[in-house]
Amino acid sequence: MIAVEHLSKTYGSYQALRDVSFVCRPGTVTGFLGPNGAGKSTAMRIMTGLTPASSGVATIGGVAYRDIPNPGVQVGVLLDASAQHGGRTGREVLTIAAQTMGLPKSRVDEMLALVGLNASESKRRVKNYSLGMRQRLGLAQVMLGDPQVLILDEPANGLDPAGIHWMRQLLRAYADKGGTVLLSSHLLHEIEVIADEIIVIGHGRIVAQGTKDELLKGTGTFVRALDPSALVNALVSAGIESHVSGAGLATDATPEQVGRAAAAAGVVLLELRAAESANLEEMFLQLTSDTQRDALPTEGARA
Amino acid sequence: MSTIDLQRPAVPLGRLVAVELRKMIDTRAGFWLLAVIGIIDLLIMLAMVLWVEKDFLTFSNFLSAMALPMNLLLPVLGILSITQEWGQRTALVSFTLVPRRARVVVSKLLASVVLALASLVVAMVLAAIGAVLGGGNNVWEMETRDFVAWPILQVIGLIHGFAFGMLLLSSALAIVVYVVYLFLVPTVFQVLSGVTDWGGDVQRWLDFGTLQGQVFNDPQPDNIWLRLLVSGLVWLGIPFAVGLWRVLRSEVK
Repeated sequence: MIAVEHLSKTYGSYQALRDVSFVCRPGTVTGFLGPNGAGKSTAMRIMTGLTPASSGVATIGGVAYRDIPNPGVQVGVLLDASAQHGGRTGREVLTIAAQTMGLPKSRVDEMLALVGLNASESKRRVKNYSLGMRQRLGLAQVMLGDPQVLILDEPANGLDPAGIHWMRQLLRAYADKGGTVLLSSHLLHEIEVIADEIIVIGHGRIVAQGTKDELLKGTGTFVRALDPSALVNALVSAGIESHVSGAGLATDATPEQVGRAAAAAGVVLLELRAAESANLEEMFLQLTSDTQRDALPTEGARA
Repeated sequence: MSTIDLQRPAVPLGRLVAVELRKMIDTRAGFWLLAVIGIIDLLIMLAMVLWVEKDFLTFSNFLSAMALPMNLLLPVLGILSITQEWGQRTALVSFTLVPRRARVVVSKLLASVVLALASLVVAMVLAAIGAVLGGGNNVWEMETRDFVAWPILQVIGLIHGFAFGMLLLSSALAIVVYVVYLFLVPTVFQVLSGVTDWGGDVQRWLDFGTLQGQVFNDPQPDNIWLRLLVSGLVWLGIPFAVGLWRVLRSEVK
């Protein structure tokens, strides 16, 4: 389990993180979503002891990362797939990591197979790898020690759609075995596809968190009738406000309230359903632009 | 699953040293640096055997000649063992696999010393071969003191490079600064002592490079150990301490 409590980080007068708290539970994939520069990487570097926090604590399984003995076999960390020596081959990179962790060489071949790098690719120098191949190599390195916790910064970056699908299955299977996964992305689609729990961060502050279902759950009802004006009249007389949405009407009332109002007025309905879930993208854009509007005057005032 | 096991054994230091050794030779830069040290030593030996007067071809003179390139190349080895991690950003991986950074630094230092000692052995073997090929008289004559001093000074040079590497965390910068230190600083001291009244005192107390050589002079100069300590602190001790602090504390991106 990863626990982050009241984490803050300031660089001079710039606040990279402000009072960030969240928990990642075993058996779930938590998506850390935010635009570039929102503080995702800073938070992940603090969790793994690479950057000191200004205040607050981050623990994994109850202890600070630096106190974990041989952390490679307990926590898999991939913060930047490009942070590899370009002159080493993929196989050499894995061999070094395996040797550090005290693992047999056979693990290297197993992991190469797991991430789909073939023998000739594994013998190429990393500088000749595409970003997608580097991500696969990074995931192989992370999985080497069979850790219980994964911390991955933008792991889908550079993967093609098939690669993203593959990674989703890999992480899903991993979480189903009881593993804890935290991964970040600035792309909603990736998080939507992979994560169970979502934490949205903007300007160093958490702006929303919850399960994917909670965050995606829309409110209100969409309704379409054979005679639209009759439906509007029926809703008005039932005291339900509505507005035109596509070919029908959208309202804040429940489908049951709308259905009863229509039935009472004898209006023939063609469609009646809970409103389309507010697309996570809208939520994301709305939330992050909200924080931008909030943040700009404050920063201006400070400067 | 899903709990952190604090009882697991930590990564033993021996394994870390082995990993760092591997990392120092598995790249082109690392491999060729070591190869170049060996090749230059070989060329020096051959050139001396071919063109230098027979009486001069002693084991001791071969070693002295080979010391010149090594004075620069071993510190570069020390520099690269540290700065390569920053240049290629592999520190990100190294420090997540071993978050106690001091252990990584110690392993790197030990690995560099092992490689330095190996290259000194190669130099000695080549010097011995040269002495045999030269076929002069008394080729093995060498003061024990000098024989002991030679590897010690080379290893100090390596640690010096290591310190500059930690201090500057950039290969190019650290090498340039080391070259300036190695070749320019003694000259500056020389000039100062020539043109000013106080320059001689400054040189006597701060010219670390020259003082290192004088320790093994017979008879030993006055206060040599104290002067070595003072100058060593200034040129090696302080850069090492500040550099270590920088490596242990700085943010790794």
